[in-house]
Parts: sequence; structure tokens; C-alpha cells
Amino acid sequence: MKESASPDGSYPRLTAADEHALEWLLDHRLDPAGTPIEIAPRVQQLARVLSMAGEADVPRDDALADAVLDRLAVITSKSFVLSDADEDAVDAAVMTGMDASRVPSVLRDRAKRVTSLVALLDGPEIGHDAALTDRVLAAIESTEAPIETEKPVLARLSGRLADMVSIAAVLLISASVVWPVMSTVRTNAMRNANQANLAVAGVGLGAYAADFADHLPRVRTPEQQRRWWDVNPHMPRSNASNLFSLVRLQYTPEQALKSPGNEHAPTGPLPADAVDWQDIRQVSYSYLLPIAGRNEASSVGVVLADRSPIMLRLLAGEVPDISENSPNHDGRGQHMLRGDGSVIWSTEPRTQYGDHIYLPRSVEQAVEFRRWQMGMPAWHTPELRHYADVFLGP
Amino acid sequence: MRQYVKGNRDALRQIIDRYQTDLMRFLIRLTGSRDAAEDAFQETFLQLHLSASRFDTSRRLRPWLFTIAANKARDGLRKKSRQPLLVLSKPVGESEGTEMVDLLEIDVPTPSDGMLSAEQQRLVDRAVSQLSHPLREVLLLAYFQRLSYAQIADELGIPLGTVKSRLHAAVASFAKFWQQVASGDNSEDQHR
Repeated sequence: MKESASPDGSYPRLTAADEHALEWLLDHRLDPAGTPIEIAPRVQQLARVLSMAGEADVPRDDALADAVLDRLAVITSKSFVLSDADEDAVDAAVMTGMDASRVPSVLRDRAKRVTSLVALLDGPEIGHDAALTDRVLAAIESTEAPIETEKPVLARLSGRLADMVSIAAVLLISASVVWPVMSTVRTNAMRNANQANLAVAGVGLGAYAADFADHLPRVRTPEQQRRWWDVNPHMPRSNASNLFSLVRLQYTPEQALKSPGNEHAPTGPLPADAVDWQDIRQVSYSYLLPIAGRNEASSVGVVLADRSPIMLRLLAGEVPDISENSPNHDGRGQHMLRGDGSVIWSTEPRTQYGDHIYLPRSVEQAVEFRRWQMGMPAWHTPELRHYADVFLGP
Repeated sequence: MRQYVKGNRDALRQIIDRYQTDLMRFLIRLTGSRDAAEDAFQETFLQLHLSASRFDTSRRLRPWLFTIAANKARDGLRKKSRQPLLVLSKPVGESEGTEMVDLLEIDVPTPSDGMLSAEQQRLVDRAVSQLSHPLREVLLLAYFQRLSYAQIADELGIPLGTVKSRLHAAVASFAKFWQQVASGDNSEDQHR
């Protein structure tokens, strides 16, 4: 009934079906009578758990009970909520690692208040207690579960020729392993930097939206942006110029819009009068295009992501591969900034609803139709039509 | 950690020593008592010992350790008393209401004021103790670990939206409780 908890006992949560059943039960004041038949078993089980399992045949379900009680505690007790501005300030403080000085000026005072408040949690200094370490080690010693240690390589080897060959092989393998390890470190560093950039841009977008009636930055109307891919430093007509306005208006530092995975991203400061990047290759991140006048993002909708490979291919006269990931991560995947400020990593250029983030819905449908005509399997699960189309571009 | 997995027993002592003060401060805040914190601390390293060979050494140890500690503290509280904060006899829907908190109206000592006095520490303890465990846990992880919402969600295995709403509620409640205890108003002590 519950989702599997991790072995270390991480916090329990309900499955979507149980959540739905719980919502129904709470809406009906914990009375399971009249439960729709499709959720009746779950509702019955929840009701029995809520009555604290006085019946012997109900297995104890700590996770389920905790989740239910947690929900009930919220709805039956007095709760305190923050103003929207304070919520934004908390989000910004979290995104900047509780460094209020990095929060956009519009939220900085409130973010400072947040960090001062939580700094109360520091508590008094605690001196190091050697006896505590000894007690912990003694407790571990007394357990009957020894750690599975790796045997030293050399201890396993005797002086036989075969072992010498093994040692040589190990050395050769080690040499071939070092480079991938270094490469992994570099990849992770780049991924972290891009994630941080999107988070900072998210704070800037949030601050901008707070100042402009929940609207995302748009310097031109969709009609004026017919050539939305045409990046020009003196003419704000590309979609990138919309995002660039965050830099112009000082909501976001320009460094946050330069990906370390984009070899063409400018390294020095941009001209003071620039209204866009010098050319499309300098654009590191792809931004939500204003389709049909839409200018708001849903909380789970993607607003910004690592740069699109599609437009780069098209402008280079190449045939794009619709399964290709962003070049910011050498095609491994891309980060996506969602409307709620969270940044997620995906190894496919699609949202959780199957929506291709770098293609408009019309193109996606045309691709699917063509595949169907050619007898090819569907490229992806059908996109949920009621969700607004996400289409990101430079 | 890599050394410990390789069989270097002294490495565990070094790990415990390195994280002892930070982890104990976190656990004392989370559990509200030094004894409970020590129990959770011990359980944390026992878990580390048992899971050491499965630990992905490319991950940072600190967040992993704090998450285990938070789980152990929660287990300890669960054993001690099973969610005593909730009155099940209270009819659902009879909420006592929601109160908006404006942080700019809360009087908070600034960091430049230096270390808090013993009396202030006692007040902070009281304010923290009024937070429910889920709120306290998210607040402390966000503060002590500087984790992002996504990281907290990942570590605790709860949805990101839940982390966000809990942290908002935790900051609002903590601000309100702090204001109440600092002004000597105890009328809200029962609200958690």
C-alpha cells in the first residue's frame, strides 16, 4: 500500500492511489460509507489504520499511519503561513545556500530576515567529546556484523608469474581508468555548475515575475518575434533577448546565463549596451517561447533548460535528431528549470508528461504521424494534451 | 570512507571525530535532548558501519550522514512516543485557522549581535520544540546542510512540493513561535 521506503528508513510517502484515497476520506470526514468501488479497498484500509488498528487482522503499517497522521496534524491544528513575498524569499535563500547577499535586491531584505531567523538554530558551541567517539566505536565493536572489507590486492597475489601478469594487467587497467575518472569529475562539475546557473536564473525569473504581475520577461510581442531564432546584439528580436533582459535589468548576473558546457559562451563581460548575445552559438540556455500569447509557466512546466540542439542543427544545415540531448552536457542529458523554481536533470529532452521541450507540439505530432505512416513504433508515450505545450528555444 | 571500506579501522574514528560537533548540534536541535541526540548519533554510525561497503564513494559523505541521522532521530522519537501531538478525537475540518506571518514584523537578533545568550538559547529551544517533527527536520536540513529543495526531496524520499511547503510552514511557524517565546507569550505553546 505504501511506496517502498529506502533501506535506511527515509521518510515514508503514499502512492498516488493512496493519496487519492486519503483525499477522498478526508473530504468525507473519515466516513468510508459510500466510497466509490474502485477505491473502496484502499479507503477501507485507511479508515482502519486511522482507527489505529484495534482489529487484530490489520497489519501494522507505520509508514501509512505516519503519512496519514502528518496530513491530519496539518489540517486539524492552527497553521502559520508566510506571505507570498516571504515564501519567495525563503526559496531564494535556499537556492543561494542561505547567502542573502546573493539574493536579488527585490527580495534581499526579506531573505536577510530569513537567514537571521534560521541562524538562531545554530545553538551553542559543542565541544568535542572523545568519550562519545569511544562509546560509538565500542557499540560498533560489540555488533556481530563486521564490515565487508576489500582485501588488499597485493595480499592476494603470490610471486607466481601468473600474478605478475595480473599486476601488469591491473596497472594497465588503472591507467585506462584514471582518464574516465577525471572525465567524470569534470562532467559532474559541469553538471553542478549548470544546475546552479539555472537555479540562479530561476530566482531572477521569480523576482521579475513578482515585479511584473507574474509575467515572464518578454521584450517583444510574439508577432514581433517571428524570427525568434535570430540572435542580434543590437536588435531584441530573438527569444534569447527575452531571457537576456534579466541581465539588462539586473535580475540575474550574466555569468549565470553562460554555461561552462558551451565553448562559445563569452568569457569576458558583455557590452553595456547589448540587448542580446552576439550570435546564437553564445546562447547557453533555451527559454520558454511565447506560444499563442502564453506568458506564464505552470509550477511543473519547464521554463528554461540547457540549450537546444535542434536549432543549432537546423541553422548548420544538418538534419536534427529529435532524441538528441543538449550539447551543454555532451549529449548526456539536460537540466530543466520548472515553474516552481526546482531544477531537474533528465536524460531525455522530454518533460514528465512526454512533451519534447525543444519542439512545438505541431512538429511532435507531425513526427509521430510520419513514424506511424512508416510503420515505426511510436517515438514516445502520447503527450497529455491538456498540459500547455513546452517549447524552448534561443 | 574509502579507507574504512578497505579495512582501515582508524578511519572510522576519524570520521566520527570530524562530524561529531556538527552532527550533535543538528541532532540536539532535532531531538530536543542531548541523550536522544547521542542515541541517534550512535545509531547513525552503526548504520554507516553496516552500510559502508555499499556506500557510493563518489557521493559526498556529509549529506548522507545527516540524512541517516535525521532518520535515526525520527525512529527514536517514534519509539519513544507515537505522534503525541495529534488529537485524533478532534473532528477533521475543525481547524483552528491559519495565520499569516510577515517576517519583516518579527524581531530577530542579527548575526552581528554575536553569540546568543543562554537565556536566548533557552527560548530558541522552546520555539524549536513547538515545531512538529517533519517541519523541524526539513528546516534543520535546509539550514545545517544548505541543501536545495531537490536535494532534500531526494534525501528524504518525499516529493519536492512537500519539501517546499513544509519549509515555508516551518519558517512561518518558527518565526511565530520565536516571537511568542521572546515576548513571553506562552498562549500558543500547545500548537504544533
